[in-house]
Amino acid sequence: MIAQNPMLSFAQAHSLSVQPMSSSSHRPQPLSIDQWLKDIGRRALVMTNITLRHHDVSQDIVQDSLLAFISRYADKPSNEWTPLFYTILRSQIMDYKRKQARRGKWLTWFSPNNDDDDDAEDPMSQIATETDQNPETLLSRVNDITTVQHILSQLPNRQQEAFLYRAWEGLDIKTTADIMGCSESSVKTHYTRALQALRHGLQEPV
Amino acid sequence: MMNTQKTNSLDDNTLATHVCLTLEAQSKQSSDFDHTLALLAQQAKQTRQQALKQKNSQKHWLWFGGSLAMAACVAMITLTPFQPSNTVAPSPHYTASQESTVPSVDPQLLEDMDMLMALGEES
Repeated sequence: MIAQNPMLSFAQAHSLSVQPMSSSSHRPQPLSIDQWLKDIGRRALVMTNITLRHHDVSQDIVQDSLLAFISRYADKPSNEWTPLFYTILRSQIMDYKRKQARRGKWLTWFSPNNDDDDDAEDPMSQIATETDQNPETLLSRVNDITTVQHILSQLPNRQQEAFLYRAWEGLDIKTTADIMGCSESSVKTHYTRALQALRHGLQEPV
Repeated sequence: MMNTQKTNSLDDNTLATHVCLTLEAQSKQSSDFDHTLALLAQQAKQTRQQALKQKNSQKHWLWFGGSLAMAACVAMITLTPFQPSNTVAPSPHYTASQESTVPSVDPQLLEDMDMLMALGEES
């Protein structure tokens, strides 16, 4: 059904057969906190893995974020859970990155990927490469999790966040902007750039 | 050129949908983190129940306190005797002795009256 209707986003397509939707997310409103936590915990782990590229650290960060959420916001209404949790998770990831940057202050100069510089264009991406625009090839590459994770992890932080929150989590632009601490137009820009980069990455020959 | 590229390839929504499907499939796979998540979920459920119970009891106390205050106000208004605003209530400290000491007639007037009476007798 999802593949047949290209106009539907992933989260929208999933919400068609379910209960009333929350105000900020296209995902179905969670019925119980334990089920919601299990679902979001799995997704958050994948997201954090993409961002940090370190499985154990990602697990620790997601666990800490979930614990912080439980201790502070467990009594909140269910439509506020997802934005609150992602706000906590994002700040934990940022804290970890800052700590890493402080530790490896001198080594960051030699790092090929500087995540803080979102708007800077990668000079390598300026070089024209031959791309395979055959939809079948694209689809086969999209279904490969290793390729998708690799391409997403190459994106700047903000583009990753905009794509994952908007497309995967199904959050609306305003909520995404609130979580990311930027304007709604920035979210749109990051999202569009993320899609372009994804397409470009998937079309590049292996 | 842009149009031909779009028609040849998948559109953005379809691409995003497929990427998300792949990510969702990855997130559904069982991992060593599932056990931790189950424990956290249990903890979350208990914490939420406790927090909601606490919130409810706080609400009850608030209602109780508010109702009590309202009842006290209503009782005070009802039981206080009605006094029209144009009548001046005498002060409870105002006594008869105070009344006698307070000069009610001007001494000058008394003198004048004495003089008039004396003049009247003479005439």
